Amino acid sequence: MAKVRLEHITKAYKGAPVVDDVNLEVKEGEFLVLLGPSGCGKTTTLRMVAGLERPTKGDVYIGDSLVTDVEPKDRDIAMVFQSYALYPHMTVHDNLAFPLKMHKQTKSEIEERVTKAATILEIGDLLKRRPKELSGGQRQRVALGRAIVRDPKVFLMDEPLSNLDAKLRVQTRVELKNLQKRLGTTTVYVTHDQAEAMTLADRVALMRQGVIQQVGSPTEVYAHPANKFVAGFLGSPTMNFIDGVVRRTDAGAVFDCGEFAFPLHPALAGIVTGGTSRGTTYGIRAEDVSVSTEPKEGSVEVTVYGSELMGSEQFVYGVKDKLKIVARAPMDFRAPIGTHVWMYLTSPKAHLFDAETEKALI
Amino acid sequence: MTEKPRSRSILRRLRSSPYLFILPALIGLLVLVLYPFAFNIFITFTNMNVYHIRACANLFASAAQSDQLHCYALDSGVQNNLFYNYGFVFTDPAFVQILENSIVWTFSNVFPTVGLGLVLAFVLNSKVRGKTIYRLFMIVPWAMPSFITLLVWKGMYDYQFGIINSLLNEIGIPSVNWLNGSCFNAFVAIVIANIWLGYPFMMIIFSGALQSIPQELYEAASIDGAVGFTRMRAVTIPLIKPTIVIALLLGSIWTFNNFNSAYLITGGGPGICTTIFITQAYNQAFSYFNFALAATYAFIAFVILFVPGFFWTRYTGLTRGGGS
Amino acid sequence: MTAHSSTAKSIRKLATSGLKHAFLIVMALVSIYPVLWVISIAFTPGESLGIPNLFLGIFPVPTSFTVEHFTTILKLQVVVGSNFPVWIRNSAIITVSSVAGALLLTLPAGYAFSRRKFRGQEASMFSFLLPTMFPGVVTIIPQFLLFSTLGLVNSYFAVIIPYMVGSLSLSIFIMKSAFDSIPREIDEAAMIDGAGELRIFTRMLLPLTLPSIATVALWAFMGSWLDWALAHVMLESNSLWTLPLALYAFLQPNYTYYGSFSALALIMAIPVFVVFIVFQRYLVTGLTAGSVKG
Repeated sequence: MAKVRLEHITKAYKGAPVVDDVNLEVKEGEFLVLLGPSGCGKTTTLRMVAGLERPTKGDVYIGDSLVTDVEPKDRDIAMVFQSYALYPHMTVHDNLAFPLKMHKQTKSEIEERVTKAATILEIGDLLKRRPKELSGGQRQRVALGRAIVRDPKVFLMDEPLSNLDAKLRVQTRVELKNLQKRLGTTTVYVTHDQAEAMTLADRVALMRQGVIQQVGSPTEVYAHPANKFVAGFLGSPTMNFIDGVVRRTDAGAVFDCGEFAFPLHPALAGIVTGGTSRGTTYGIRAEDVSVSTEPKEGSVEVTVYGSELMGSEQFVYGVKDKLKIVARAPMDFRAPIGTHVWMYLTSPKAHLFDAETEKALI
Repeated sequence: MTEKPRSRSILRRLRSSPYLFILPALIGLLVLVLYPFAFNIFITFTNMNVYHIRACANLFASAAQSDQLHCYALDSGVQNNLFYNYGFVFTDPAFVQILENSIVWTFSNVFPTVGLGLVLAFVLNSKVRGKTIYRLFMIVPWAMPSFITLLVWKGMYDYQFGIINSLLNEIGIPSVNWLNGSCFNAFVAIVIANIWLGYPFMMIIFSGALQSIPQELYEAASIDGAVGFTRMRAVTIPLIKPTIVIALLLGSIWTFNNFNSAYLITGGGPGICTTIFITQAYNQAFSYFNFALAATYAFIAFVILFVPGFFWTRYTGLTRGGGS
Repeated sequence: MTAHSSTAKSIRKLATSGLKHAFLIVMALVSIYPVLWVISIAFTPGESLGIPNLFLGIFPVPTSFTVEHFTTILKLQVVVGSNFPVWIRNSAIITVSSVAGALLLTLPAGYAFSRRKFRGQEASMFSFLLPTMFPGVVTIIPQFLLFSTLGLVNSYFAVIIPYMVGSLSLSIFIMKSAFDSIPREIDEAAMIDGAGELRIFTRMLLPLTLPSIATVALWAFMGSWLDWALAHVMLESNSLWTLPLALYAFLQPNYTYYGSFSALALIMAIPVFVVFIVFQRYLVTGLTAGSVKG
């Protein structure tokens, strides 16, 4: 187990950089998730750590060694591909044994490690089978087994769960986290699924268009997003964004978005003392918006246009003029489409972003 | 963008250079193909024939090897009119007809042969019992020397004694004069025989291509709801497209230059109905050992094949490389 | 699922299966029919194209049965200076070498075209198509002149080398496509697992493309086993004769020994079937199944 350090890593193909000056340090034993939408450069970054791609600029360190020019096979890493890439002409046993054979382990060593890995992943009875005879979940575990069998310094995982069905995915997530903690191996994990990232990560690094937006623990990035992108990417349903300006009134501060205004919570108001001259975006998560059939001081009247019943809670979607807001409500809240309800948007947990730079103001 | 310097030794780079991998093949190509090609172009401008080449060795007798190793090929003079041979070919009154025959010959062979091979490959790739036996039977046309099998075909087409006519008679159809009747009949006769010769090979090629399609892609498609023909269109065809493309290309090229089928059955007749480019070349050049003329025919055939071949290759992306 | 629809399904299955078999049977019969005549001629005494009886009106059966042609050929009796062990030895050596050589040339080239990017790639791939575009016969004479100068004429090399190169055109494309169909991720996984390029080639790519390798080998085999024209020009001594040379020797200008020709043709076809059966084993489905998701 070792730490991984990326210094000024850049990858560019004919002009536009796909990965742009990434600086990242993964601590020993840490589970770091690279999270972002498709094309944001997270897989490319991972492949540069693996050595499958050469950085245009920058250096990669594994442990204390500079590995930028080192071949993948000499970096003491293991990788789980999105498509598993199992060797189709070999049995499961030989798939697991292959990396050990390549690193010239003795036969008894190989057997020992293969058995151990197979036991951990509960694939011991599959050893004589070939990949084509296995289910998706089983193949995924073989792919994992091939990675852990060598006990490398770093695990690299490229969306390994994305080909599993939803239920299996959630189940495997938890097991994976457990496994990693048991083995204690430094792991860099790539995904576009924010729920997955939140579950698995010790720390999350969000990427967008090749640039790292924010790095932090799940709670940190969730509660204190550094910019609008991060705020909008994490959490489901997506955070509500309202454009407007902060205005000082005698009563305190209000957020004025033209058609209506609502009071700003004192906690926020204290920070934006002078009001904002430039455009500001107000961000508030559905769980922080309360909705009621009765108007309340400072609440906004919206027309219900839909609701999502989740079983333990529901999300009510309302619209006022062109603005759409989603609020969380208990299951028994009645909100038929077309009716009017009142949503209360004032909350200490809300966020303010500069409309132009999209950076968080608080 | 600055590239990081590679810290690999030059020797290592050389050892794994892709050029090294293709070098042996390329050398073979250069020496054994491109040189003859150049040589041929050269002699199209000469009047080289067997008398000039005789000093090199006795080619057409099984006598002992001659001592003389240097050739008087270059003794053959360059024609006064450089393009004499070309003129000969192009001013042949039958030239257009023969060219037409060749093109019709090519197309009417290639599509059925490739199609039949494809269908057979599909059928044999599906759930049928006794695949091996069927396959064994069906490679017979390919395994036997076409000289004798084509002679048998010729016999089968015989108006009076041929088996085909007697079978037709049995089901009430009057005998057809295959070989000496209408142009169309003769053409059909040789096309059928040639398809018989050609489809086993196509079948094998496509079988190979079908075998290497991963099973899962079929499963995934089935889950998505595609079965039977839809699935074939969505999964299989795209994956064997490269094979189909090269089969069509090479099949056309080989058919165009296929001598045996057109010559042995009808001898080019009736008249010049079934004479194609290569059989005319034989008649006018090879049989007189007029190598210069033969080379001319060959070169013209090459150009005829090269132009569409080049564009076909481009259009279908056949030669698009890989790279990692 | 009612009983009715499941019977309908099985009827449909039976019909499809029946159709398939009917089609295959027809094709099989059509394929071997002309050869039945060859067999008949081979077993008919005399060297002319005898007219056999027709069993069921279509299957030729010789009027009188004999194995004289076979014994003549195999027992080295002097018909055309026959020397069967020599012919088959030469053919065997030449063919095996040609196949081995063809594989040696084709496999690395196919790999380079599939897994590497380099300048002139498309052009060189296209140039492998060029040889097919002119009639093979025309290349023979310059090749002869070249080998003459090099003093290679009348040796095994004189034929082996052209045979090796001759099969390249198709073979390189077959191998390139085959390698292309193996997902790059397998290479990458093996790379991370510690395999160098050569290991990846021998342990991953080759085992997974066996069907195509078998096809290439079969193709090279046929090109060499049945060739007459090149062998005729390059090989002169009787001690170097290959089977096709002996075969066509039965076609003398004055008289055609149809009986012996047919017999030898049939004998020559046997190894072809044997080779085909052996290679069949490698044309097995499913080697690449299960390796990659989607």
